[in-house]
Amino acid sequence: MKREVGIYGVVAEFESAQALVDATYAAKKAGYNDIEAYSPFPIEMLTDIIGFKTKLPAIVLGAGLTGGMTGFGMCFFANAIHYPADHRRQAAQRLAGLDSHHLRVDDSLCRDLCGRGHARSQRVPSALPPAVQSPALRSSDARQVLSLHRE
Amino acid sequence: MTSYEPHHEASEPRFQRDPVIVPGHTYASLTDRISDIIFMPMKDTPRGWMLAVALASMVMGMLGVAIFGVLYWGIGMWGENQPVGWAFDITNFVWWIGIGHAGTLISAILLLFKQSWRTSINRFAEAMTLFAVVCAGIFPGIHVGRPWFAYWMVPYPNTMALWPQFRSPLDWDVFAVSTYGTVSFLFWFTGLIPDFATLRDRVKNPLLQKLYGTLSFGWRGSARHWHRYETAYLLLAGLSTPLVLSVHTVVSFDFATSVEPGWHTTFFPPYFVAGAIYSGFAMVLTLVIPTRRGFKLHDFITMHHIENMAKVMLATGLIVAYAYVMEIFYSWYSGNLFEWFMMKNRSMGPYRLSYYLLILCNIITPQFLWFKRVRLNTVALFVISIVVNIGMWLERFVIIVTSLHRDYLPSSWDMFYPTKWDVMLYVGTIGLFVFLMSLFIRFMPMISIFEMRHLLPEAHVHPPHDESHATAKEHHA
Repeated sequence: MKREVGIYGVVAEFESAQALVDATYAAKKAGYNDIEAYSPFPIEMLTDIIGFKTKLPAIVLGAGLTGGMTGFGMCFFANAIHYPADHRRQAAQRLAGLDSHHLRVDDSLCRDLCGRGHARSQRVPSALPPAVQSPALRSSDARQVLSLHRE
Repeated sequence: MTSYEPHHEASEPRFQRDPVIVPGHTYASLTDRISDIIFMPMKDTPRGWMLAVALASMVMGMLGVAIFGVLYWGIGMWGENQPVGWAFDITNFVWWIGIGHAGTLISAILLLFKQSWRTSINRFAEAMTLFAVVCAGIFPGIHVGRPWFAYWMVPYPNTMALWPQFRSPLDWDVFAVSTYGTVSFLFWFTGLIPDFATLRDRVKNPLLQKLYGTLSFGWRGSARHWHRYETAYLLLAGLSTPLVLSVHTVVSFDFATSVEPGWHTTFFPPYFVAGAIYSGFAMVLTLVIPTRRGFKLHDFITMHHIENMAKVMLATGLIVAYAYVMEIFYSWYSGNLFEWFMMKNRSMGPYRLSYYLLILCNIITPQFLWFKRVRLNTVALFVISIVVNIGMWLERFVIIVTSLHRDYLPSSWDMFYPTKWDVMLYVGTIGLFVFLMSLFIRFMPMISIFEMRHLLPEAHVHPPHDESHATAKEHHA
């Protein structure tokens, strides 16, 4: 293999920022394209002369949109899809189909089932005081219990 | 001139004032002067710095005790109880968050407005922002009662099927403050990268060289690097600018969205933001004046900077004064019995002393800043800045406690008195803040080295003499 001998590249140091800009411009004009300049502080003119382009604004826009949509999506998921009351509402609506009076409803369910109710509509009309309730209904054991009453 | 005209020429003051950097400096002298603070041997460190670190360390010990006590015995150690369920912790939280705002204003908004006087104080103010956010975060973090469950404030799908209450401004706070902390850190760190490279190239110790090299991400200072850097910095400034307004707006919503008399007003957001910038500039002055003297930075932080900060303080102080007047006017004009009672209770009730002290600190004291002689006197400014800091703390205290302690039901009225645990935690965070700030000014470049180089006359560049910029672009194409 033949080793090429010759000048591979040249590095030059300049006394001032102005000299660097002038030299970069001259080099560019002379047809050199693969130029890189180093400076201890940003010289915006060098960017224009050498002609750099950066994808950074596009990346930031993409990241920002992703973040924004993820944030909105999370709020939407948490509030409209995954909110636990939604799961309870389905079961509650089935029960309500049997006898809507005997359903103890909390606020969020009441909005769906009773319309804009007040305190009275949220109370089970035939609720018995705990002392006279059947122990079976108050049992904390897992049993299949369906409470149905007739006035 | 063409568009090449460097911006700092255009924004040079029209009147004879101190320059933003004392003439006679070169690139080398600048770099030496700023990096020497970092590389100076321990024995040459100013006495004042040693004293500040020693005192701050002791106070931090107290912070440790205060946090331990509250975690061990619970937040019942604090003086707050119904009806004042929110007192020192939220006061201190708002105070610290507000202080951070000056850093963001200086670094982001003044950058977009191309104000060259921001250059020597922006790094310092950004660090202040960051440490203030750290101190602020401690209060809500502990006030949740079980801080080890603080992550419950973050929305994540969990086995309990629980989500944070997205309609609560306290949840917005979590997002506002965490965004603010993240963006402030990124802004600060991005600015530090070229300076870390400078330190890497100057430090002798190989271990430190590795450390600074890692922190600088292999910065070489090429034109390509600078181009990306400047783009990134500008984008971050754009992202931070709305934060200056939004973070304290959300903090003010903590109060404004409630139905508490004195809180339920629409002017809270601008009132809080102005107050935040006011207190932030006061804190920058409190920190800059002794640092400038201790480390002899008179060449870089000139009276130009100090006077400008005093002017911003005066302007925002007047906005705050206007807000106080409007607060009184609206509580009467609303025709609401409870609002008007709140105002009478605030000014004539049991907490009236803190209200009048607040007027004295925040409205009367800054009026001295109308005089140039006061603005150019660092001792007077230092005193005024501390008075304003106290006043802004009192403002939050008055807003929070006087509204809560006597609201609608006289039967549930009660007084709030802080306990020693309240005071210890508050003073402790000041110790933490001073400690972090001291470490920062000693071990990191507290003034942006490369931005200062950019201010020197040698850094002014004109377009290449033979051709105009337009032909250069054509040639490139």
